[in-house]
Order: sequence, then C-alpha cells, then structure tokens
Amino acid sequence: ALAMSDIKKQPIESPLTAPDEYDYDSSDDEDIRNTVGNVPMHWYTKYPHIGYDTEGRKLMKPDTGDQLDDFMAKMDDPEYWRTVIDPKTGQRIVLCDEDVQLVKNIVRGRVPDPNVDPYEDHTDWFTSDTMATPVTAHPPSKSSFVPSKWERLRVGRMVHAIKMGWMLTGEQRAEARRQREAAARGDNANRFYDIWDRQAGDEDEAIRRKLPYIRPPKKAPPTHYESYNPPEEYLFDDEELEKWRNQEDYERRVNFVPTKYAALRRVPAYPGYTSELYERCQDLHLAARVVRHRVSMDPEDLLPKLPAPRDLRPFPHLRVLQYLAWPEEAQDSQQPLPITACSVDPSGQWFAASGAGGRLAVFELTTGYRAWSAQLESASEGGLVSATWNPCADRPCIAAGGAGSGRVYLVATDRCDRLLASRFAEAWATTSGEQQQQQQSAAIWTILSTEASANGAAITKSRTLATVQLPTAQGGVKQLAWHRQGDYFLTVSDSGSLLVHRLTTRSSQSPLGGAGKKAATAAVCCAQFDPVKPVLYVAEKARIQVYDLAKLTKLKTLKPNARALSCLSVHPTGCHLLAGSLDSRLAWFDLDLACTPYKQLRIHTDGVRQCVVHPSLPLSASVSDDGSCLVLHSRVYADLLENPLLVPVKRLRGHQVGSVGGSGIVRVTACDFHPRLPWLVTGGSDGRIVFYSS
Amino acid sequence: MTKMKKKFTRGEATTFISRKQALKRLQLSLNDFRRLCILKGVYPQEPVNRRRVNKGSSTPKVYYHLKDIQFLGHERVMQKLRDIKAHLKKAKRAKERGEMHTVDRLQRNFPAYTLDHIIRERYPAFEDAVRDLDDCLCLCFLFSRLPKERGVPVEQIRLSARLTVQFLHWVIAARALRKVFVSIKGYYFEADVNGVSVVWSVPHQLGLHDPADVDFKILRTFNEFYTTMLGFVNYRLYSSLGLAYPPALANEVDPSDYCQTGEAHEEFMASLNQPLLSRRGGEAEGNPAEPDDFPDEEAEGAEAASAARRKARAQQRLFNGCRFFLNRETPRQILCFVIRSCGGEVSWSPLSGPGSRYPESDQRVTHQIVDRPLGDSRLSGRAYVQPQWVFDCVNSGSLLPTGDYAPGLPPPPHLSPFAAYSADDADGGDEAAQLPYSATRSAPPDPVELRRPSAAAELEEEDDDEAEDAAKREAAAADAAQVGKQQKKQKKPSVVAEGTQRRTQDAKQAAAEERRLREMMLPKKHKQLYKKMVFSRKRQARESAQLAEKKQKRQRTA
Repeated sequence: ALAMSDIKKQPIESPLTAPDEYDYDSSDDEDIRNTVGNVPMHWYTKYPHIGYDTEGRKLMKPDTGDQLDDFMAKMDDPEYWRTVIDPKTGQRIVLCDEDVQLVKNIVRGRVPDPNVDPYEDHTDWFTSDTMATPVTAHPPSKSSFVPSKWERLRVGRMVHAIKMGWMLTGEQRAEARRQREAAARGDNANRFYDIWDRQAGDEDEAIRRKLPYIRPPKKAPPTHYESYNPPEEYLFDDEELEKWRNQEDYERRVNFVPTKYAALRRVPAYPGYTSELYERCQDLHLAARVVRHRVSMDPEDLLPKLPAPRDLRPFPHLRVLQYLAWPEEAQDSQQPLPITACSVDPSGQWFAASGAGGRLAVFELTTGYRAWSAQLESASEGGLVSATWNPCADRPCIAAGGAGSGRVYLVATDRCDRLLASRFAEAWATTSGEQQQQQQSAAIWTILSTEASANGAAITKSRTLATVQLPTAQGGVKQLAWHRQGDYFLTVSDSGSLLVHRLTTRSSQSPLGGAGKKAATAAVCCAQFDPVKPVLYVAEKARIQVYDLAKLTKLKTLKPNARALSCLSVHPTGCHLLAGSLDSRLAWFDLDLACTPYKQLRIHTDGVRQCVVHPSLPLSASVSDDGSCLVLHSRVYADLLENPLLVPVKRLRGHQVGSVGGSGIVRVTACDFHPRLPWLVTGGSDGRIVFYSS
Repeated sequence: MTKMKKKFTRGEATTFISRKQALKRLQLSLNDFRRLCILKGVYPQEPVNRRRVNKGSSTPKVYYHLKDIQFLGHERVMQKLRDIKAHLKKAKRAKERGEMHTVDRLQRNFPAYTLDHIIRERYPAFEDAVRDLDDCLCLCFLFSRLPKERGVPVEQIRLSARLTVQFLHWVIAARALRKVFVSIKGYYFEADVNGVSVVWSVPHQLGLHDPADVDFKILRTFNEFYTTMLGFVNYRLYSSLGLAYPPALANEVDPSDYCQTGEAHEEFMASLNQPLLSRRGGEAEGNPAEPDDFPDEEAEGAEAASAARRKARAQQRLFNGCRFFLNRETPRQILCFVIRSCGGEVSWSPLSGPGSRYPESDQRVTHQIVDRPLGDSRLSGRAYVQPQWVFDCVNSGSLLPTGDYAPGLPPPPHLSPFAAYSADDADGGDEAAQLPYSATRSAPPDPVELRRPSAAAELEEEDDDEAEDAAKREAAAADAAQVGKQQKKQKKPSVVAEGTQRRTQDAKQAAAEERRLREMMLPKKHKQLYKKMVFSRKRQARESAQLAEKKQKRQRTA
C-alpha cells in the first residue's frame, strides 16, 4: 500500500513528454528496486549503500540531511507529520489521506479498510432445507456410508503388531526409551530376576540342545613360576633363558619368563593378558570338545603281577668264569673269531665249542680247562658251526658242521667213561662193515678211523670218526641237531634242505623230499627232533611245520607271528616249543593248545640267535644280538588246564662287561644249559666263553 | 535286485556338516553365525572318521553336528540378528538420503533382544551356571577395566564393572574367599560359591596393553552373554544371603566430597568398603555362609574335607578385630576386598578415593599396609606390613608374623596356593602347599635327610644276604665307575657308613632290574599308556630335582 501511494505522488506529465511507462514499472513486484529481500535493513547502517538493484549495482543511500535539516523541516514543512522514511530506499514519503486514515484505524483497533463491512448479511448458499428434487441424481457410493476397509485392515495389522510385541504403543515406546537410557547408564534395576525360581520342566527340555553338553576344561591353575615374587630357584638362569628364547611356543613349559619384582607396586600390566583371554574364548567356541578319561593310576598297577625272581631260584645269575676259547687265534688275528656253538655233554662235566675259525674244542665246564682242541676246517671256508654233543651217553661223540664245505664231522671224544668210549668204538668198528650193504645215501659218508677196534689204546683218544659230505648243491651246513637217542642227527644246509643221518647204518636220507630231488617244502631255517615222540619240527621262514616221522605225514603248522625264525628248542616233555626269530621275538607254543603262540615275548632288542630249554629244570634261556642272554623261569604244570608260567628272571650281560677291544656291541651267539644243574654256558662274537652258575 | 545304496548318504556323512554348509543352511554370515554359536554355546565336533564325513576327502574342515545346526535354526535371536542387519541397511540408506525423521524412527525402533531364555536353556539349574562361572568372571573383570575407547560400547564396560563389583560384594558378605595369588599376569582369586570353587583372575591395574591380534567383536559377544549370566547369578546369590538386589548401601553416603551426585552410588559401591542393605532394610553384615559340617561323613577324603572346612572357617574370621589402613600406593580395591572378605576393617586416606572410614591417625588401627620404603614417620601401636602379608595370611589361614614383611625389606617368596610347593619331593602333599614360604624357609629342609628310600628299596634291604652279595658281585664291575661318580657328586653325609650306602645302592639296582624285567612282560595293549605315565612322572621328578639342585646352589652361593 505504501508503494501505491508513492506512485500516486509521481508528477503527471503530458502524454507527449511522457516517458516510456516501462522506465518506471508500476507493477507491485517489480517496483521494489532494492533486491536485498526481506532482511533487517539495519544490516546496512554501516554502509553507504542500502542494497542492490536488479542489475546488481549498489543502491546508494539518498542524502537525508543532518539533524538541523530535520529540525528545519519540522518547523517549516506542514507535511512533516505525515512524512515517513522508507527503510528499503531511504526516501522520504508523504502519506496520502487514505494512508493516514488506514494508520489511524489500525491504531484504534478498527477494521483497517473502511470499505469492508465485517458484519454484512450472510448468504446461505446451501440451505438445510431438503429440496424436493436432488441437485445431483447419482446414488451415494457405498464407501460413503461403510467404514473404510483399508483403514480397518491397517488398524488390524497394528493391533496384531502390538499384540505380538512387534509394535510399541506410545507408552511402551516411552518405557523402552527410559530403559535404554538406564542401560546406557548401566543401571536398569529390574533387568535381572530369579531365573532359576522353578525346576526345569518339560517345556525347557523341548527347547534344550539335544547333544550332551561337554563342560570346557578349566584353565590350568597358576604355578609358582607365575608369582610376582617367586622363590629364587624358579627364576631362569642364563642357560634356561637362552633355551626358552630358542623354543617355539608349543615347546615351552611356561609362556612367560619368570620375573621377580621387589615390590607389588612395581608390577606392570601383563602384555599378553587380553590375548590369553582371547585365546581362551577362541578355544571355547572354535575347538571341538572330546571327553578323554584321564587315567589317575599308578603305572605300577599296569605291570603284570609276576612272582619275584628271588622266589624262583635257582637260576643262573652269577658270572663265574670268562675266558677266550682259543687265545692263540686271538694272537694270530687281533680280532678273535666268534664262537658258533656250545654244547654240554650228557654228564655235565665237559662241553664242546666250535668257532668261526674252524676249530673244535672240549673244555671242562667248571674250570675252563681246555682238554682237547683241533682245527677241522679252515677259517676261510667259514669255520665250524653247530658243534653238538650226542645227548646219548652211550655214544660219546660230537658232531660239527662245516659252514662252507658242507661237511659234517663226527668226532669221538675221550672225555667220558672209558668203558663207554671203548664200547662205542667197538660198536662203530662193527657197524662200519655195514656201510657197503647200504643201498643209497643222500650224503657221502667217509669213514676215517675204523682201525680203532684193533688198537685198544687209541680208542680212548679223541679223533674224527667219519665225515659226511652233503650234496654240493646244498651248500654249507647251517644247523645240526641230534635225536635224543643218539642214533639220528639232522642237518640243515644253507640252501634250506634238511637231511637226516643215521649213525648205525651210516646213511642219510631226506625226509621231506627225495635226495637229489627238489625239496617239497619251502627253505628250512632250522629243525629239531621231538625228545619223546617220533615228531620233527621244521622251522621255515615264518612258520613251523610239525611232521610225524612214523607216518610220514604233516601234523600241523604253527604260526609264530615272526618273519625270520632262527632257532627252535623243544621242551623235554615234548608239549611245548620255544622259537626265536631274528626280528627279536621269542614265541612259546603250547603244542596241545593252539597253533599260535601261548605267549609272545619281546624281550630282546635285536635278533635272537639261540634259545634253549633246560632238560630237567623249569628254565629256558635265549641269547641275542643285543649282547644279552635272558634267563626265563618256564614252569610247565602237569595239570593241562593250567597255563605255563613264564617269568623273565635275569638278564645276563656277561659278554659286555669284561670284553676288551672290538667295536660295537658284542653279540651272544650260543648258549647251552647243564643237563641237571641251573648252570649256563654262553659263547659270544668276541670269542669268549662265559660260564654262569646260580 | 535291490537298488544299490549310494555312498555317503547315511551314517557319519550325514550326521556332521561343515561350517560352510551350516552357513548356507542357516542363511547367516560368518560373523552372525559365530555370534550365535557363542551365545548358544555350540561348538564344533570331532568326527570319529573325518574322511568318511568329508566324502572321502581328507581336506581339513570344521564340522558341526547336524542337530546343533538345527537347534540354532530354531533360535529367535537369529531372527533378531537378521532384523538388525536389515535395520542397519535401512538406517544407512535413510541417512544417506538425508531423511532424518526416518533415521530417528529407525533408531527408536532398533530391534532389541534379550538372552534370558538362553541362560535358562544352557543352565537349567543354578549350579550349572556356577560351575561355568570361571570364564565369565575373567572376561567381565577384563571388560570392567578396559579403557572406554576401544570400540567397546561404554554401556558394556559399565555394566561389567557394576556386575563384578556386585559379585565382589557378595563374596565379602558371604566371606567366601579361599585363595589369593599375585602373579605377574594378574591377581588370582578362588571363592567358594555354594560349595563350588570358582577361580577368576583380575588384570593388574596399570596400563592394560592393546593387543593388535585380538578381535574385540568376539570378546564383546562373549561379554554380552556373560554379563547377562552374571546378573542372574548375582541376583540369586544376593537372595540367598537375604541381600537386596539391585544392591544398595546400608548407610547414607555423602556424595558432596569427591564425586558427582549421580555417580556417588556407583563410586561408593565400587570402593567395596560399605555394608550392603539387606532385604529387610538393615545392614547385612555378619551372616557369612558357614561351611556345613558333616561329622559322620564316610567319604574317602573325609579327613581332608573336614580339614578344608576348618581352614575355611579360620579364613572367615581371620582378620576379625583387625583394623587396616592402606597407604595410597597399594592396590586399594583388591586389598579392601581381601581384607573385608576375612572380616577385617579397612580405611584409607579420603584423598585417595571415596569409601574412607577412619583417618590414618586413628588409634585403633592395628596394621598399616605400605608398599614403599618407610622413613621414621611411624605411628606407634600398629604393625607396618607389605601387601603380600595379607595374601599370605589368607592362603595360610592364620596371621603370620609381620617381621618378615616389614616395608623396605624383600618379602619372603610368594607361593601359588593353587600348586604344591616342595622342591625336594614331587608328590608334595596339599599341606605343604598351604604353608607359607616363610615357614619352610625358617627351617630349610635338607634333601639328603628327607629323601626317603622307596618302598621297593626297603623291601630289598630286608632280603637275605645271599642275594645282596650276588647282586653286588655282579654289579660291582659294572658300577664301580658310576658309583664313584655319584659319590663324588653327592655330598656324602658323614653318619652314613660307606658299606650301608653301597648295600642300599645294590638293592636299589636290583629293584630297578626287577622292574625292568616286569616291564618286558607288559602286554602290548598297555605299553603305550605305561610309557606315557612313566615319562610324565620321570619328567616331574627331573624337574623337581633340578629345582632342588638350583635351590641348593643358590643357598651355597648366598
């Protein structure tokens, strides 16, 4: 309205001189030249301009004069009272009468515009009177009188959400906010309640995890090492510290270096505390849990309950004698050659030993006196093996095999009763004539001394009676064993063929296959006669065949669970068998019981060379490459239901103790028991003989 | 002919599923799956035959039991986790679009869940929860001491702090503390919670390290579960003692001095030096949970059990009538907790923190705990001791002489009550473990005298002469050198005659050999187990022998 009045005051020019009306545009919007907008104008009090025009140029403030001019105008100008200053332009404006009236009306609280009648009559356009005919004829829509379906659905959804707790009402929301704030402060008082106020019921069972819960193991309790002030001995010395530093984490017994602090206040925070707890948490949720029952028993309880060795006496445990069998051999070649076999004579006074140097000797058992010695084979041929005394006292002779030549030497010995010796010599001389009558022999017998019968003095001298040459294809002799009655002996050759020789007929035969023919069985490792029955035990590489010699049939096969059998020994009753193998096992068979061992003994750490069962006492022994000889108490009961009792009673290491020179371990290669006493003689690879007594 | 059965369609192959399969089945991200496993207590399983489970392949994988995964699938928290994921997505989108009203609304309606039902489900009885309390307390104590900057919400830290303080208050009120140990890693405590011994550790206060290799997301999830659990356990424990829960202080405290009014309650609670309000309104002191005494117990360890009860009773009234004053360099909260758990009264300088009850000059103070060299400024009528005295007293169950623990002097070694201490004997009894070091130190045991011959050796000695002589003769050559060495090594006691010693040695050797012979007859079935047991025993013996040797050496040099 002010702008309107301003325009009215413009001088009215004649149409001719009238300027273009667009120079002073009278339109309301565009009349405002100042473009600052609706801002407080006091912002411009400090500036010479009062705003900007449409072109962006500054609008300078008009000269309003000083206070004196203002006073003069007040005095002189009659229009002064109706003059106001336009804050937008800074111009003085004289209000017209209508404007003055307007201001007055506002001040008095009247209707500003006198032309407006606030109380004019109301024209009732839509009367309340129902007309006879409607203005519009279309019927009302259903929605106009039926409550809104969509609203109902929406309300329904909200009600449901509230019921289900998905949506919060205003009150609930306020409550939740309160709780949130309390939680932020950390004190929502009623958060916790007695959750275990009732016993677990079925509904709990239904939601419970079905698998059994395995409680995690507790952390290991802290040890003295962990103390901030441990005893001195728990601190690492330099060596231990160095060791700890060089160890990997898993090798360390403690994962920190024990440290001693002078005072509690000096103890810093442990750097790995959080990491350790984190590790524990990782274990709790990432590690599989397995229940392992910890054994809290004394290891002593696991050991089998065996009678104490001191209750099982007598057994050989004292080393009485130890000597070199052939000291002259040791002088010749610095390394004494091994003893290959020991055999005690039936009287128990003497024993024979054969060596890899090819010598055979007879010693007195208790004194070590060498009664007789002879070089039968040369060392280069492989020496003698398996010297065995005839177990029958009536036939005092020793059989020994040549390891290289394949020749068996039968040596008559004078170390016995003279009567027996002469009887044997006579018998030998008389039977020697039968040699011609013999049809065929698997081996060639050569009789060396038959004249003995004529010369009475010579018969009691030790001499070689005969040699038996095995077929050359069979190679050297590996093992030799006598029958209990002393008439038969068997030889096992390198090629694994077995021959049985008979003294009285001086003939040889191959019980497992014809001589000269290929053997019917696999290579034989060793063999033994049964002391009682006409039965032959033949060990192959990994099994033992049992043959009946009377019927010439195979009785059974024993499976010793070994890979390279090396020796056999039959119990004097013929009911049990001890078998040793080069894979350091010893198997005890109860022949009436089963074809598998009654007991497997892994008592040696290296191959077993020989095992012997005592002919009369409940003892057995085995010698091994590990340098020891193990004596077992092996009691067999007459009651068939009772198992044999096998108890190792002594490990004899006589060969290691006194041995001098040589390199590495001394192997024990041969052993034999005294026929009646608990005495044992062993021979070793150091050329020594050791005699043990009880 | 029946249809051929396909491989890997039954049995172990279907009982277990790999983690990847489980994720696919549950439609969860690995993070959410881990979280769910932690909350629900589900852990992987070790199948008997991995190859069979993995369809013939031996690639190493983590397996879960199928039933566990099905069990997780029914968990309502899982839906909440999905909701949270969707919610965060929406909020992010709204924020990026600048729709602040939507952001506000979303924030207001953030999906919240509680773990109450999981607690009830995992621990059907209160005892089950108590038995699993060890890890819970360790983690809550760690969280309560975390700085508030590590990406762990402040609420979680404060909640942990409040709950652990509440637990400590219960231990004080029940006088349930049994063992304390100060290690270089932190403080270890053992408390008797309803007959179950609970062990927890508290880190040292100063400068907790920020490890780079720790994923705090996992720790937070564990803590979320454990705080819920600890809250419920606390409620139950408080009700069993007739204390009000949430705990309130029995006496009005004046907050005006050192903290703001809003924090006063919390600060005074945390000082542990104010009695709590009982449910009836009075002060709840003097009702410690007495260990039950069963005189006619016929159990095997009845004697040991009754000894433990006697000791526990002694611990409960250990510091009755003692008034302590803590110097400002001592760990206030720990000491206050330990002393008040054993019936003592504590105070400290009001300048150190809220909760002080009497000044240093109080005439009735009996012990002042000091952890630095002290000048002449000592008050008469009280004993000045180092903090270790308190801990050693609790472990031994009696008041130890204070002379060894005088300030400025090196205190006697601090031993772990959780382990047996005996450098000479590996099978040291429990009794030895509970003795303080000072008792053992005052009379240093002579290893030569104390070494008892083993039972087997004694038996051998009684044996007849023949065997002995035989053994001697046989072993003489072999062992001459060895015996000589041993004699040189061992300090030979003068009273023991040489012959006796040799006879003992021979007998020992015979016993050892007999044992070796028996070992040979060990069935293969037991051999491995036997070897293991013997190995561990030997190692134990070796270690204790090393310790004894070191101790002797140090004593000699000292």
